[in-house]
Amino acid sequence: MTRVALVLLVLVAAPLGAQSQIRTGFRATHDVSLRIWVPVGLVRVVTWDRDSIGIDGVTGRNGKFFGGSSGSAAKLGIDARNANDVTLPGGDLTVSVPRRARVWIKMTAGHVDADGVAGELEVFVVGGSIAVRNASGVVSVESIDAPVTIDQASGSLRIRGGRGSVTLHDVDGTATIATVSGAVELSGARIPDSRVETIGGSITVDARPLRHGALDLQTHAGDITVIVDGAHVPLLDLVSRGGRVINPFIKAARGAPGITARSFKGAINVRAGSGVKGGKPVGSP
Amino acid sequence: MTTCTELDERLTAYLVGTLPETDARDLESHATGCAECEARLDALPRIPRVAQVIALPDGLRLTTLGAVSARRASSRRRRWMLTGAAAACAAIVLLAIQPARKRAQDVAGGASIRYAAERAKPELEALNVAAAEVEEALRVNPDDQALRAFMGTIEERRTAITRQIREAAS
Repeated sequence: MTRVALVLLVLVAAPLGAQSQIRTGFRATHDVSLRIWVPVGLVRVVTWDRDSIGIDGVTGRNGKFFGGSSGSAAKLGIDARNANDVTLPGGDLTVSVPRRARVWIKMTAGHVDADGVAGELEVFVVGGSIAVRNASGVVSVESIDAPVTIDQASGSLRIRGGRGSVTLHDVDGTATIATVSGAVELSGARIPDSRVETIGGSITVDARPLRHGALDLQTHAGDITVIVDGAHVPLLDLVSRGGRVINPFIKAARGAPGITARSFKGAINVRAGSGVKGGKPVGSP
Repeated sequence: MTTCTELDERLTAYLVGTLPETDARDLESHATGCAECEARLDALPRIPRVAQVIALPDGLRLTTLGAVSARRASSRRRRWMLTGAAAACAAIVLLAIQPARKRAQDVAGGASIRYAAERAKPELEALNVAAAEVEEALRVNPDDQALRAFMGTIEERRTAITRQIREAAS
């Protein structure tokens, strides 16, 4: 009797605290539509040249892995194992997907790290962090306070955030970015045509690589800093209703791209990047 | 008196030996007087005729048919009972599992929403402050399109964050 009770206790208690190893896979088309739902933890997405999805990882406390695929559509994630446990189910998954896959990830509090997705990537995270590298195609990110970093990407980007900062480095294509108090920074060898809106967050753009296209920047109270190439000053249209505007450049280069900046009460500061002739630095970002 | 149509209707029962004796004799007497029906009976395979040849006495046949019928009914009842039991078991399992799963999802969903609402609170407050400032400016310059654009951005962010909180559960 004691032995039976002991076995029952182990059976009931084991799933609550134990981590289970996951190593599985599904067949998939090269452009599979994959939905990933992991409330808490870490999701890494990597791409490979196979028509299949591979999953490697562990479930966390109260987590139970689920997943399946019909070939063109697949879903996987972590569900709650115990309905009476208020702990959000979690896990740490590395998901290998075909390069052209359309990947949708949703987490409550977690970290998403995606590398090389060339189809579509949609990420919804409340808190945590989002890092995307080497993406092409369509990238859409929504977060409340997770910082978002996008590095080496091209295509169409759409980022909606709250408090988390947004950093784009070496990104080409088009981008629409909106935050509440999160700071936005655009830099690198390439700058996408962008529309950036923040309420209290600052906007910093190193626009020296900008040779064509347009930037449309708007804040309520955040400061806007634009670093330009003094030899190729863009067309600048800068207005702040309640903040100071500092622009040492009077003349724009012929055929130069346009930068529009509007702020309700934040300062707007344009300056030349160091080592660039033709402009004198004013203030600092 | 059996007609050609009745013969058609009773033929199968006659061939397998389940037609009552009087009806069977009636059918045979019709076939004797009707060239067409006689030809049809003659053309039929021999095996069914065997059943007729070894036809059981009425009492025994009725008993046998009754037993077969009872067994069939019993088999049907058993099948229905098994199906019913299986369905009941499935229902019990579903009733036990589904609410538990639903409850688990509800718990996770509720926790996600609370977390999102808590995280979004400072942002919503910041949006309220910004909206109040722009409203104040709009009172002075109600036709200022730039101010309306600022207000539009604030409203858009507020709507998006509210939606994100709501959708944190799904």
